[in-house]
Amino acid sequence: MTEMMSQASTSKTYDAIVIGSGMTGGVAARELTEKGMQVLMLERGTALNHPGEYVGEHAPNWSIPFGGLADYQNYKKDYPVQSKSYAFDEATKPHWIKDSDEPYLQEEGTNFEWMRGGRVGGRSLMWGRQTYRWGPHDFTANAEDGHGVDWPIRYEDLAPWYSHVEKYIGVSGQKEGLESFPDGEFQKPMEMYALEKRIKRRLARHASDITYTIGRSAVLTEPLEGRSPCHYCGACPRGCSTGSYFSTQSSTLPAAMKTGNLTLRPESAVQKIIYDSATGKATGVQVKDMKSGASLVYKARIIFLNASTIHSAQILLNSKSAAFPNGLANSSGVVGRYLMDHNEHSTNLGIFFDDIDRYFSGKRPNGCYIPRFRNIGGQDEDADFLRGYGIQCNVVRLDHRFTMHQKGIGADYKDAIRKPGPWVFAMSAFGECLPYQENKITLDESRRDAFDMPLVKIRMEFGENEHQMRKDVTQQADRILKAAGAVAIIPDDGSEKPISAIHEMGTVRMGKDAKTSALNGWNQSHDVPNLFVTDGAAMTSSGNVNPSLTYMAFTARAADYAAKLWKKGEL
Amino acid sequence: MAIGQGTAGMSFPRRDFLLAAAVTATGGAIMYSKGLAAMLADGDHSGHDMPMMGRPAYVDQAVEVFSTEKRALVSAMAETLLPQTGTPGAIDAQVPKFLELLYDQWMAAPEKQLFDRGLAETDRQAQAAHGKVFADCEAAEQKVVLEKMEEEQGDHPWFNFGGTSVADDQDDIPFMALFKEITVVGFFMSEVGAQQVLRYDMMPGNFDGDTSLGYDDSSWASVPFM
Repeated sequence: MTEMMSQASTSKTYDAIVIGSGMTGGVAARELTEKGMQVLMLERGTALNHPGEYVGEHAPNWSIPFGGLADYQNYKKDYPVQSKSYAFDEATKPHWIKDSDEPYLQEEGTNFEWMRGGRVGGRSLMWGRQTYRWGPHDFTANAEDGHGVDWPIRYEDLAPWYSHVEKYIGVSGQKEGLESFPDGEFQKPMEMYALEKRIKRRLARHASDITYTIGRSAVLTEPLEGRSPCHYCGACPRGCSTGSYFSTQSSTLPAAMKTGNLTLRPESAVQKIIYDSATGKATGVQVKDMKSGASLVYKARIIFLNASTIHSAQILLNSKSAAFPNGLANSSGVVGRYLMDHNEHSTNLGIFFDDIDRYFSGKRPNGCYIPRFRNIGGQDEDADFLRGYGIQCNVVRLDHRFTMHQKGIGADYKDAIRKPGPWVFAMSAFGECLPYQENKITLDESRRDAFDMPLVKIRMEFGENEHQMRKDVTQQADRILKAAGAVAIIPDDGSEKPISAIHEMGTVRMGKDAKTSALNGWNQSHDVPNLFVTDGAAMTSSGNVNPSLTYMAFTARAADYAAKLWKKGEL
Repeated sequence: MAIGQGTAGMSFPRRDFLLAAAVTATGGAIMYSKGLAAMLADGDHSGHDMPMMGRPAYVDQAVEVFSTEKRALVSAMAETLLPQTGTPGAIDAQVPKFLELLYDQWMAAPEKQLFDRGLAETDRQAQAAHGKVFADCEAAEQKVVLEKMEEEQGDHPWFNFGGTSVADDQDDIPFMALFKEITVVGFFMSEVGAQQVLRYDMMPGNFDGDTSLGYDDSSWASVPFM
């Protein structure tokens, strides 16, 4: 914390400021510092020291407060949204923001669950680690069906940067040789359960259009840069002192620190980006120091905005000036608009009578994946929706958490629930969400959060295409489960649920035309050439695969471009 | 087999566990997680929270909110649901104390009232059927009382396959749903329940998806997010 207090008024100008330390902020910091730039990374959340400060890591079950039951009184008060996440519990709680510190508003009748990280490392600390490349069709979809503006780049532009990032974040997976589901630079794949191998064989016979592959996961199966392969303790979101899953903390931050070029400043909430109309460039940022409450200014030649999708838009909309009365880099008026999230639904559940005598050892933090098989290479004749979805699959041997609901008192009940129940096959579809102008965030200037920022108001709803797609998911999941050999199928009940894939993106989209997009093909603002936005905010469409890898590849590519301009003295 | 209060840890060498958990096997070599080891060695844990793995078991804390009679009733009920068989029962696993801690620290006022009403109803039914309070009934009589109560309350969705948790949905839950869930959770999350009734391996080191399972083998103790 050498930057406290006094630096704000010094004349030091950093080569770059990176706003945010999550998935993409970490990549930006690593890339820029390794190219010799002096970088200041600002993070709103509190410091967290890897590897020693994961308070919940390897907690024995009996040390968890309340036996792991949700602390509902506390959660209703302080964590009403965050506590809905599958990855939230008493042992991971330190990684999340407190909703009571920074509430958000929603347009009436809409329901979007906004999950946020509260530490250095952001959501990379408790992400799901599924890691997939976009396919070539994802970059052409907008141009082909006319929803959203055309992407300014194509798959070939990003492919080398996927490789570049995959090599240092570490991705385990199986190559499948599909054009629409590109292979990457993989460590050896994780093993399948016996039932998964059986399902794979059956699908090959009875549903040969379906590819069923082990999840591609940013969890190591081989050593990498001082990080150890996974030890299969199973509770990744608590943090991993062996660095076995990728996070800013395990990978990009140590690499950036090693260069000696990075200054990290936690508890530094960026309020706005400062714009100089004389030069037409951003000159720095205004920060609220969360410890002292002081308002500080930091200067830089280049700004990388990586505050996470909605916060990045919030900061731009809050950065008003005479030149940009509607928010910085927003001459187009698109900033805050075209918010997307994946059309995610737990769908049909299959129950199996196979492999009752097969079990497992080790907790594999990964499932299997069915890549998109609908509307590939043109619209399927029987599909009344555009684009497609992938399906995350988990075989689960049920235990007492599921079977305790049965009737019974005494020895028989105890004996029944201590033993494994049947195998089930759970499917969760992640579908593409079209970019809709009316899905957006705005600011409510009349209210401020603990960071002194105007509250975000969110309007996020799925449209007809997403609803039609969900119906198709239910039908296809039924076909897949039958082909896989399920003896009973519990169908999706179709109930409306909050939008909560935690894949929110859009709001500062890329595009070819400065009138209809905020960023060019290098994630560079059309309006402000030394401003780059490389987190999920930059997305022009949503694809259907888990997005973090794509954000990271964009970030590395943009950082390379920015550093080249910096070297030439153009920025 | 009974393990009394204040002996948590005797069945599991906590020190060895801390060391074991702070290392991970990598290709035969043992690599220390230096940060965690240093943090555990740091006597006063200045500047950060004590890691959970170094904390005592949740039930290893004092609680004194139940009367002697209430404690006897809760103990008898928990043991009736999950009795000592060839393996430890609810009392061995300190589940009664777990329930008292939940009553003190976890339940909101409506759930406390629900819990108290359920206890009173249990004694009322024991008196009506057997002429004595629940704790004084024979084990077979106790089982009949709880079975009857479950029958009366058992058409609630909590009893559906894979039903929801009372922690997520407190609306209209019947007493028996609350009682069963918190007793089962307290039992299987305990040091005794996880290791002597279920199986527990904090640091497996590798994954094998095709091991054999005998007819009488127990599940692994659960891991969150799995």
